[in-house]
Amino acid sequence: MSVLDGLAPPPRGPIDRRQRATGLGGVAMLSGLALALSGGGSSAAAFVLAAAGALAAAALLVPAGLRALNRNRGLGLVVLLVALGGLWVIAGLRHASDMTDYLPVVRGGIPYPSEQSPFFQMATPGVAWPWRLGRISLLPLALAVLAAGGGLVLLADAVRLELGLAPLAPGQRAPWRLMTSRPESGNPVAWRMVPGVLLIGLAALLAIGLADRYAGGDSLLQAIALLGVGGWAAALIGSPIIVGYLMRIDRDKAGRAREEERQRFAAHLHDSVLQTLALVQRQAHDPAAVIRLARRQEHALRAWMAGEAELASETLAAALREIVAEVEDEYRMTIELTAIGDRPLDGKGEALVAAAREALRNTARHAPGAPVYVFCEIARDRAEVFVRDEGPGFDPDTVASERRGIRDAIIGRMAMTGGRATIESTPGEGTEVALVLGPGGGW
Amino acid sequence: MSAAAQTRPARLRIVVVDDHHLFRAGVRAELADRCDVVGEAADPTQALAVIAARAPDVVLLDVHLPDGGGLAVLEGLPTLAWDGPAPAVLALSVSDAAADVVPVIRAGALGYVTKTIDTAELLAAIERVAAGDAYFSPRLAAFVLQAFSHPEPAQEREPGLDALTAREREVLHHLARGYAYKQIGARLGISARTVESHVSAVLRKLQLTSRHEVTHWAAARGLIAPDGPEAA
Repeated sequence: MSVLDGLAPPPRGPIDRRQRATGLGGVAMLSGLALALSGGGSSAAAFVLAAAGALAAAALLVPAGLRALNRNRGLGLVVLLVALGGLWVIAGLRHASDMTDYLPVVRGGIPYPSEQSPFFQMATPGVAWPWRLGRISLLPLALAVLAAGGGLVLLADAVRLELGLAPLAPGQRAPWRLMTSRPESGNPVAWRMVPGVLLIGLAALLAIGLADRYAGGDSLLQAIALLGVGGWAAALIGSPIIVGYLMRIDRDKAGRAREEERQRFAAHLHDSVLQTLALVQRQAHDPAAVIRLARRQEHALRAWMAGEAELASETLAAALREIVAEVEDEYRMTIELTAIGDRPLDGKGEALVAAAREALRNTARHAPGAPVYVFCEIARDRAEVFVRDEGPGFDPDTVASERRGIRDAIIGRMAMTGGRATIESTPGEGTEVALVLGPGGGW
Repeated sequence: MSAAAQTRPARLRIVVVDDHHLFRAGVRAELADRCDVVGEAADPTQALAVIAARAPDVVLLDVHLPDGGGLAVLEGLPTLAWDGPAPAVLALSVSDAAADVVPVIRAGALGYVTKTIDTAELLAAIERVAAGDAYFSPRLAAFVLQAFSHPEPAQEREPGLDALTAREREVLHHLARGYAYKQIGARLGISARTVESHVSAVLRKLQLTSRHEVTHWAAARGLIAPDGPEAA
């Protein structure tokens, strides 16, 4: 089965500025190379031509590459693979035996450039070309590695498809193609094979000469070099599979975390909301009970959402919410609580909360059924709680002595912490208890 | 129908915007005695279409809607053309968070009530905003108080708010403690109407500063000329 079967000719899109510049750069590089290989012309002209091409391409490709890397971190792995391949070849060749016996040959009918060509002068040890690492000339080596890398990238998708690894869904784009071409470009995979094959051919041509030069005669070294190059090529071809595998692991991990979160959520809802709903259904005949249940559940759910359930009652506002819910349950009443600000709960805060509870109980006893409001304003160095009901009210001066709750549990408690409590009531208009801890009154 | 309209000409026309069908049905039933629910909507786009078509007196607006929430509706309202006065908006929410509530007030809602409110109170709130007055529940008063002032270092004050006067703070504080306008007036020695005007002044400060901010923001980005609504 051929990949070419049934492929329509690629739609001709507008060529953008970047593609044109890269193309020109490539032509300049190749013509420089051709000039050098042919042995005609001066090596300086060839070098200038190749360098200009490389610069033109790099000026556009490097920023574009960096942007692509930023968008798609998987490309980093690819860059790493290419770099590792290059390093591996260089490192292997550095240990190659002496090259003085090197002779350029024509191998298997492949015409190879003569020793006199500038290309081999570049590659010859002892000739003073600037791009050298020890005895190795870097320019031909880099050319070979780059050409092989580029060709492999272009071929990788087709090779993988042919091998049946990671088949594509219909309409899906092959990963290397996704990473190396613009999303709207319509070139099918097979068209990429043409430059791919050409590039690999070029790399092979260069590599044969280099291998002869640096590893000639040492069959162990040649075998190691071949294995290394093969492994590198396989890794490059397979890298989308590796990247895909790593991303799947990531996704699975995230999925597991989500599932755990969902289960935690479900467990909480089961213990709280579903239980309450069941109770509501069983007590549907008793509206007061239903309201109480709904109210209590509402408090619990809000506290849980605010993250207070885990903290128990470690803040003043949370402790107030708790005692409000407690009194609501105890006296089957509804209390409107608003708290703004918060602070950690300490001993004085606990006294304030206890006094507020006593005030609420008083309200429940003496103003049953009346609307009750609790307003609590907490700042860093100050806290005020107002407990107000619209009940019958009383005259504080004539309050009977059996109402010890007010005197001891509210006024006394606040006084002991250095705060104060004031009670305001007018018969017929309700009662307000103000509890204050603050500068000059506690804290 | 016409007989009913004659005996009670002041039935308010309401549009209910909430994404919960059950809640809309509940409100419709609750209000049936005193108001006409002339339209319902479940998301901002639908809401703006229904409001434009029905021109209600009051919009009951859920703060938490899909696709932009109640804020999207409030921001879309000025783009509609009105024959008469624009509808008053009363925000409804299950939320307890100041961060949810204060922005809808700043965006133009005249009041905010929680969904647990009882029918009588809801009707009172609707009537108040229909008359163009602010309706501040104790909780909203507390949130607004918090937005305007807290001099706590930990809590950042809302940016761009003019300070409240001492009297406005006092009125808000009493509202947060659950006092009615009449009671506040009696306690502060002013009339209920004056209390009302203080509350309206607070609302104006909230909404005006919000509009100033938007203008400033737009001018800073060259969207409008610095001193006019439109670039020359």
